[in-house]
Amino acid sequence: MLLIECPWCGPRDEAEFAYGGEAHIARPTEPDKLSDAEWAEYLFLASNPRGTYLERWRHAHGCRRWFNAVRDTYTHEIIEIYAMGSLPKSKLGIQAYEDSWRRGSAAEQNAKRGSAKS
Amino acid sequence: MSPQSHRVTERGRTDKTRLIPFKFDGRDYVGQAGDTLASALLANGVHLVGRGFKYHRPRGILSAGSEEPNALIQLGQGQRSEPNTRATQIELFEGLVAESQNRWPSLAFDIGEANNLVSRLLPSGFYYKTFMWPASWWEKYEHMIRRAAGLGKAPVGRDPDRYEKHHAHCDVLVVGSGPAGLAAALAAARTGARVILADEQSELGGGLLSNSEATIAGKSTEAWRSDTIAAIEACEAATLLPRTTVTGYYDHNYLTMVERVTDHLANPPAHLPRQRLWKVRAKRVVLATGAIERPLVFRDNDRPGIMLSSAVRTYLQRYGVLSGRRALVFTNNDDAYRTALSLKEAGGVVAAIVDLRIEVSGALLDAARAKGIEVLLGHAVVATKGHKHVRSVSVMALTGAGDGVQGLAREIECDLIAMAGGWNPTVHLLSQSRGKLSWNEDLGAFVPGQSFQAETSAGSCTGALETADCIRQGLKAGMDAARAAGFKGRAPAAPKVEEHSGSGGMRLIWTVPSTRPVGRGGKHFVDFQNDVTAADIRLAAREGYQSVEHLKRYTTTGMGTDQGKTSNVNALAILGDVLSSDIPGVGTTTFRAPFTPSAIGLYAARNVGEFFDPERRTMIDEWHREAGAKFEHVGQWMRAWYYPKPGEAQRQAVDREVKAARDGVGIMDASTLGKIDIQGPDAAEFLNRVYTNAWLKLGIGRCRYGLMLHEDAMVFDDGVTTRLAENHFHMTTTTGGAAGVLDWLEEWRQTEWPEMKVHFTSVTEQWAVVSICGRKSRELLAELCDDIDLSGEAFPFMAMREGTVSGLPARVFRISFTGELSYEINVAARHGLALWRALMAAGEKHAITPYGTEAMHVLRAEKGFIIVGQETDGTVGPDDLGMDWIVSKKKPDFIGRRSLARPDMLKPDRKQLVGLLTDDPNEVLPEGGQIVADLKPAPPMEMLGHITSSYYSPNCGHSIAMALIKGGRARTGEKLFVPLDGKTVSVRVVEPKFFDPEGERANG
Amino acid sequence: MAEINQARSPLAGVASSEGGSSEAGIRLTERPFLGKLVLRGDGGDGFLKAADAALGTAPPIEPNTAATIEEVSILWHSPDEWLIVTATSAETELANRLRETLGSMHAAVIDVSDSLVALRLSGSSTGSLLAKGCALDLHPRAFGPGQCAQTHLASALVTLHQIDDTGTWDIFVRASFAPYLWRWLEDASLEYGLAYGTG
Repeated sequence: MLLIECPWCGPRDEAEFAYGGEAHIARPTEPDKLSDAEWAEYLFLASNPRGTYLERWRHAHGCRRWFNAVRDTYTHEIIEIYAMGSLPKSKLGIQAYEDSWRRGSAAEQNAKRGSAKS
Repeated sequence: MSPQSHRVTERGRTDKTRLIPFKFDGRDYVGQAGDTLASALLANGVHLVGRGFKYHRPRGILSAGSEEPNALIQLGQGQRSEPNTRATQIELFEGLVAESQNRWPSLAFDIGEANNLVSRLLPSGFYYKTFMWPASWWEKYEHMIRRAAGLGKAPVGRDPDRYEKHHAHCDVLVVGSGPAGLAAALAAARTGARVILADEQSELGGGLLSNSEATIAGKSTEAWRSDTIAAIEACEAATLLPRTTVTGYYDHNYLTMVERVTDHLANPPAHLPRQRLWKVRAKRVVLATGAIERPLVFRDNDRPGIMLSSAVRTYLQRYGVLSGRRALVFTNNDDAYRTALSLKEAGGVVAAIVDLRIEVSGALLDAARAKGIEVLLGHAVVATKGHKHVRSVSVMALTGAGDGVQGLAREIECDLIAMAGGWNPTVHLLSQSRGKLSWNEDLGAFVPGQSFQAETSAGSCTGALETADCIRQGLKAGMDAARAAGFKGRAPAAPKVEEHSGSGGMRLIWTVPSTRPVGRGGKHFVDFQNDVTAADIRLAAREGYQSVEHLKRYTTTGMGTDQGKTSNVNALAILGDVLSSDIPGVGTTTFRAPFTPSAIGLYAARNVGEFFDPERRTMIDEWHREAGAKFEHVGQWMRAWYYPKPGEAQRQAVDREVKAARDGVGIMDASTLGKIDIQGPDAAEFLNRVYTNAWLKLGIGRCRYGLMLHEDAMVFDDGVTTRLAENHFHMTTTTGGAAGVLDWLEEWRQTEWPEMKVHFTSVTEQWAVVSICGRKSRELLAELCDDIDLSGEAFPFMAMREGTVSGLPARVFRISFTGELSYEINVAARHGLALWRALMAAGEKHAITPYGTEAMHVLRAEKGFIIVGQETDGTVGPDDLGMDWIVSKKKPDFIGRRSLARPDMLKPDRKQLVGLLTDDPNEVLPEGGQIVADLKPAPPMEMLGHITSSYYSPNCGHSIAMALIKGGRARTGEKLFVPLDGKTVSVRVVEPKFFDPEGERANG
Repeated sequence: MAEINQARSPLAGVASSEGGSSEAGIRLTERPFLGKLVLRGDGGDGFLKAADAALGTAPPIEPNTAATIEEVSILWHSPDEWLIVTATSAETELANRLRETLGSMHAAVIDVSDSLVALRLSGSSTGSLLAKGCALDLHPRAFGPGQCAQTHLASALVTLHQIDDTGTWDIFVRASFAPYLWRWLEDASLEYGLAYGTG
């Protein structure tokens, strides 16, 4: 039973939250320009590291707000909680963000091209 | 044996003025208030309490604590009967009834002991090598093995007791209340921190309850103990919980504790639960869990009367019981000398102290000799005698290296062996918390290494054996914990402690040699509960099971209900010897919660029967029940399924309802459907992005059916959404999909389109919904509603009007899931029942017919309308359902759009929705039935798809079914087959629309 | 008024409104048909001012706190959502007032009077009772009067609102979960003694 700190409500038991999968999967803004393989990569492939992971949570049984977390998937240590729509500030979080294969993926390039936000 | 023949009245904490009668194996005995079952049996001279698991050798009480492997008792009778309870933990109460286990016909004469005679055929893992031939006999073998395996009997019938669960929060949780635990709790509680102190025993004090010779801060041990407890109790934020086992250590300092509330009471008060499960979130944890004494592994070390030395001392000092009249003490360290001295003082005879060590010095040795106790240094017990009770030992000198024996054997009579093999820190919770263990060569034990969570160990569980060290560590740990939790203060000063000590030192001989090789002439037991011997461990290693994980599973050492508390380290060490490896190299297996077994009812607590899952019912439910409706589960909801008239079976009732809903007026409670209020300037655009069809231009007061896809283009929900105003919509979803759709909308708004101005609010329970349908529904509505123009021109199909129905403010939606002229009347939920009653009363002249979910399913199937979750399963896209018409080709973006163009979605042989008709109109196919074109006499056959919905249609006069079949639409007209158990049904593929295919009736 | 007479509570036939010992550690009662509204808005100054004008006090922006003025309580649910509780039959007028002061701002007022059931829990043992089904730290050091929280109570989602420091709580639960929660509270109160009604 992890103890997760909702940015609004403070620390609550894991049972109040719902997991939201990998974070920072940018949705392509011009998906027709992606090949089927590139689209499938965006849609179906997920990282599954042992170690630092950037992921999404929502406080399903509380304020229902979404937020991001940097968590070590092996130790379950929650290294950082940060707002939805922002990037991590912790060293490990920044590292995991920069190292992620998604940064170089066609889908993410496509998302950057079309929209103004990161 | 005279009653309580072995009670020493001037000792112990038990109360001789309160005698307690109890029964063991049908015989009556008497014990004293404060006894455990074990101490009471020993007080009566009873040692034989069980039979070993495999060999059925007579077994006696080994220990005085939760580590007990032998004295496993079937406690209580009837539904409360509980197997495998440890006699050492059962608090005696009047009327207690206990039975020994694993013996037939009796404990004294057990036929199972024949296993002992053929024990050479039954080593570890014997069942992997036997019972293999002939293969067809396996079920017979299995039946026999099952009867022979297992310990104790499970009770028949429900657990009648109440259990409770409690959440708790504290700054410091202290586990264990021996000297270290009491000190830690005191230091922490004095700072004002919220402290919970838990101990599995009935009294706080741990080892202080049985080792009371020391002087602490100038007081007796007992005075220090009770003063410290009083000081903790005086702290307002301290909670003391005896009879409470901390049983599991989980992530982020979350721990579970089991509190035994009434197990020790003869007549538990009815309002109290039997036990409580505490779920604690602690900022800091102090583990003061003590240490468990190790048995020595020598030949035939399992006879009744062979006990742990510290247990012998506990029974004497704490319970006032002499475990034997003539004791033989066998040890590898100093502590057993304290036992010898205690026994002597209490009037027992100590025949000798047999010490594996060659050189010993110090106060304890001197005191023993001063009392005239013979001490044999460098000697070992090499054999024991006595079938149901030990009666003598054979003692020899060890060789210099300690790996063999020499000289002459000497027989010494005794009725008790107190063995002391050293101490294993109780590191189970630490290990569960992912803390690391490190091997201490001097102690021959695993001690706490690196902590993983916010926790510290203190006292004997760190390897400290002196009371002074335990208290000092406890004070520091408690203080550090309180400070880390944000409290200030200074720890009390560490008290001066005076107690006997020895020279220290231990001689670790993991397998005590005998006159014959290990495995010959007798058994060196390692795991008493699972009957695992040193020979078994050697065999496992020889057979290649050399990793500790393999050793455990192949020999089953450590796999009993005691989780190897008295056997794990001995087993590892023996494996290490065999492999010539050091113990850290051998490694350890994982400790798992619970620390001691607990009742399943505890984890269920209240959540059984009516509390297993909330049962949700609509506001109109009372009417349905009064009408004799049958109900079905739709998620957590109980919905009216059908309304049988007297004498009607389900089929007749449903047929009648389905016909009436078209021919006359049907009425249905649709309140459970999900409803979401959507408001904001970007509401229409948002709908445009989550549905496949177009929404921007939907008129005010108009309704539209929408299909929702996931990003992979698979259908995940549908419903009708109505525009109430320019920026205000009312969305409906399936009953089961309501919560999921709301979550979906929020996810996209918060994570993908945060700039969009739209709010979503659930109103599922705000509105009761009564749906009326059928030719006469307009007429009926008109009788109760005079402020809405109900004519077809003024109130067309797929529109909404506001007004009053039966005097109640209402929104009336003209939408149809049945394909008939239909109105869904929404009123505030508090008016739902009143609305229903009013419609029923006014509808009586129209023979109004309530219909349930079954009839609803048939009615929509007659029209070929899909149900998400029935015709779809997450792999079905819109075109598969024949619903390409609802997918906009113009919208630039909606969820799932890109995936519709994936090659996999465009394959011609995708499963597509079709209708099926049977040759025999009365034959109703089973849902889930597989469909084949190429029929063979027996499987395997190539399956083309399956039946998703299937009913008898009274409006069509024949059965109807829908199915998903590969390339289904191209197969229209084809004959296919549904192979079933015992017969094959032929079917013809048709379009999935059976009644009123042009859809004229809803538009009426 | 015909519609009032035809109103029915989700706890009809389930909840008792009187009975039990005066020494009971738990007192449980339903507060039926209270007016309840969900207020949505961006929490900015303009919104807060407009809402204040209608409510008499501004919706709290501190998470999980409640503001109370006379019979109106405003409970924080999320940065853009508040639960407003008012007297029976007062919700329509209050909603209209709010819609008026909010004007064309991106905000919404939704009637949820029938969506939620309001329970009042009081007595000396309410802390222990709630701890049987709620994982929040409700100790006075961690939670006090004027604080509220959305969380689990048993298997129901609730909003808890601490009213005073003598163990009085308001519990708001979805209507269809109310019978289950009522029965759960009854059963869990057994060891403390239970009385019904306002006492």
